[in-house]
Amino acid sequence: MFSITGLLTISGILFVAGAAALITRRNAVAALMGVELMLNAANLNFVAGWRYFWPERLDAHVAVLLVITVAAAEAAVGLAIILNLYRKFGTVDLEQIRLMRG
Amino acid sequence: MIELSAYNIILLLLAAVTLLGAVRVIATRSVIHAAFWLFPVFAGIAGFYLLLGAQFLAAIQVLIYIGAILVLIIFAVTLTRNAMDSDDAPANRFGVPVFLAAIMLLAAVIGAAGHTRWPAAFATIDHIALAPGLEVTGVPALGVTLLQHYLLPFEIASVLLLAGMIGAIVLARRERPSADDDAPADAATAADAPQREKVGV
Amino acid sequence: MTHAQLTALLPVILLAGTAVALLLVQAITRSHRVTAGVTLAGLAAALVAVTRALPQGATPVTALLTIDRFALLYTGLLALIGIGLTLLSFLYLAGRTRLTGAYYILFTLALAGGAVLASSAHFAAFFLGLEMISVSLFALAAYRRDDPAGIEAGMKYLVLAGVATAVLLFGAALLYARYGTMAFAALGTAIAPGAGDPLTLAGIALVVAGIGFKLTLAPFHLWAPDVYEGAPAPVTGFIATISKAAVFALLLRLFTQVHLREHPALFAIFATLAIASIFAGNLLGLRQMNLKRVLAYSSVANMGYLLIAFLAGGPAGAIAATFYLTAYLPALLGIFTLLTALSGRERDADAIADYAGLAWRRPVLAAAFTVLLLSLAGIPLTGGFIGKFYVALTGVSAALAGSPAFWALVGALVVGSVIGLYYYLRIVLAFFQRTPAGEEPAAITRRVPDAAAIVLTLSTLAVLWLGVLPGNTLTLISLLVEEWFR
Repeated sequence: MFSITGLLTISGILFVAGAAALITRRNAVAALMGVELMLNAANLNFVAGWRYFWPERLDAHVAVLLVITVAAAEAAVGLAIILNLYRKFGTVDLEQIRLMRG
Repeated sequence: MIELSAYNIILLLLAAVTLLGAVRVIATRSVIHAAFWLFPVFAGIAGFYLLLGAQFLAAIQVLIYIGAILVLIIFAVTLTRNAMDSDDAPANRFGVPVFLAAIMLLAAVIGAAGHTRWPAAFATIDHIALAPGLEVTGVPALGVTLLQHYLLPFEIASVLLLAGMIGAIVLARRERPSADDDAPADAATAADAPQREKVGV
Repeated sequence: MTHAQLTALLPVILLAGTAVALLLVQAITRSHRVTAGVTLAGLAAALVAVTRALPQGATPVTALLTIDRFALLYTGLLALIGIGLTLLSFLYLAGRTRLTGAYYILFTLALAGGAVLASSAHFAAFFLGLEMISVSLFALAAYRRDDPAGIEAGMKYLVLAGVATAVLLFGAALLYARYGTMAFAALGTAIAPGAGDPLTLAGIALVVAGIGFKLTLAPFHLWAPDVYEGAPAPVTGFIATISKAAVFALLLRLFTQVHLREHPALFAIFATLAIASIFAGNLLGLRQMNLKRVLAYSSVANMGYLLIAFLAGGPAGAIAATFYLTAYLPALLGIFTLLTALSGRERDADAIADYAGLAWRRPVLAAAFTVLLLSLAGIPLTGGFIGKFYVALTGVSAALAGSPAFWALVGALVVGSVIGLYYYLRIVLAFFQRTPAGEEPAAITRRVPDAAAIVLTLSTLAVLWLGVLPGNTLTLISLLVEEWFR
């Protein structure tokens, strides 16, 4: 017996860990890792929901596939931006990169 | 109380590995270590998909998340460090408040899940058995769903990938020492890369 | 796919098709003029397709998109603003970079994402539309590789958009687990009114937070001013107009189907966001010396005002919100036109000090700029005033109909507008500063290209027309929006 609450707890922890990584880590790549963790948590939720309650429909699978596709596109563009950032600033520390007040 | 069947033990182990990885991603000082700790997280999630009966998704998770995205991330980390130094300060000043907020948010979500009246009778699962009438959750059924009900998002996703591809190429194009002005027409697509190399020489 | 569905989908297809056509054009010629021309032709064709699809009414295209008159109205608006922004981009890119093809491809793809967003009826379409806009805009914000501020803006936009998407998806996944559907209409019927189901509320709250990030509502506005400041002027214009309008269209549609008024907790969340945005936007905008940052905070406040109309709900709310946006978009477009036209090659003319003495040196430009700013501030005779008036009116009538919370919202609108007036007028005052001859800021001496002059004239006239004779537009909007409520 492994209830849905257990799975939602795991995905919840992943989501919160991703958010924490995003906020606390100063490295731009680590911020991107945080986003990936959060997306994975959402995916796990979709699959858990499908398995426990709606096994006759495959909407969740399509959703997960779309999320993975988009995550890949986002990561590709994101890492290109990070490389440019490094080339221009010599660092990817988000706290040191402050051309603008904010 | 969780009954200790083999299935449950594997699930619990997977959960432990996944969560350990996630915690290490936040807490490790070195960014490259954090990147490597993503591996157990992504692999653990793939394991969950497998045990929950979504084999195709498990395969995709391994192929794309581990095979592509994780590799990209590790590349990015190694390309943006001066050396293998590990003086990356892990946290900024938000560390403690974020930790507290995270615990509270988590408690709220778990509490919410616990208090929800769930719809159907499938309150628990204890094996990989699939729903009746769904012999193979794998590719055939998914293919039909994807290309019938979800044909439109499938197409939109391909357009989105086009945007991602062009965006990445534009941003990653080689920077010539001279500014844009005296250069010949610049290239926008991957196919033109060799030609550009020639011009550069 | 039936003929009706194809007609309805044609604007989106044309927009995406333009991007592909541009890709092919690059193989033949790299001419900037040709590329921009093809983009303009594509957008104009999409606009024509919108008018062709209007008569046929709501057409569901699979479960994902519902292309009704409301969606077409927003698609048309986006395409119109898109045409203006294309001209600005042409002026901006000329002389700054030789690599122009990819810019227009990403630009049209982002526009296609906006059209998908405006007509989506399902979380999958919502998510894809949103990501099409975001992924294109990261790259556009960081497009000028010689400009570190742009790259920083791209990075910050990437993080913001990533969080928004992830939060939104987590919420959608919770709702999916609970109700087994991602279609808005089905969710609307499944979610029982007033049910205090905590998981549902958590799911909706996360979706709202995701939307909040995209609309830069306070407290989700964190890096938005940096993104506005760092991105190239036409790209900032895109972020401020098209992406906001598309997300707002989606918000209206989503919460018309998931009945907002029947969930007190949700109502409280949105009301708090609205008031926080109005005050944060207006107060933080007061001390900015940079025009783009002022516009960022102004947009935070304006999204707060819009939320009031949205909260009032019903046909009146949707009409007021749509009219507000219709008046808001040309005003912003005009301001970004001026900003682009007067920008130098090294940096954008985005400091308020760049406009010192504008009224003495270029009285016509100063007059147009003043009209546009006053419209943002909501002064009579401009479209912004009528928009704000209707928003306040819907708020008051909702308050009289028995929701006293609206008094607080309308009060915030009034107080916020008064504070806001100060910082818009501060910019206008700068126009009248006396500068010694020969020491004027370089920006105000630059020639305004013809294309910019046309866009500027048209948007100023639109703002004035909407302010003096709003009747026709209001009738048109109510005709198009009412379809939902029949």
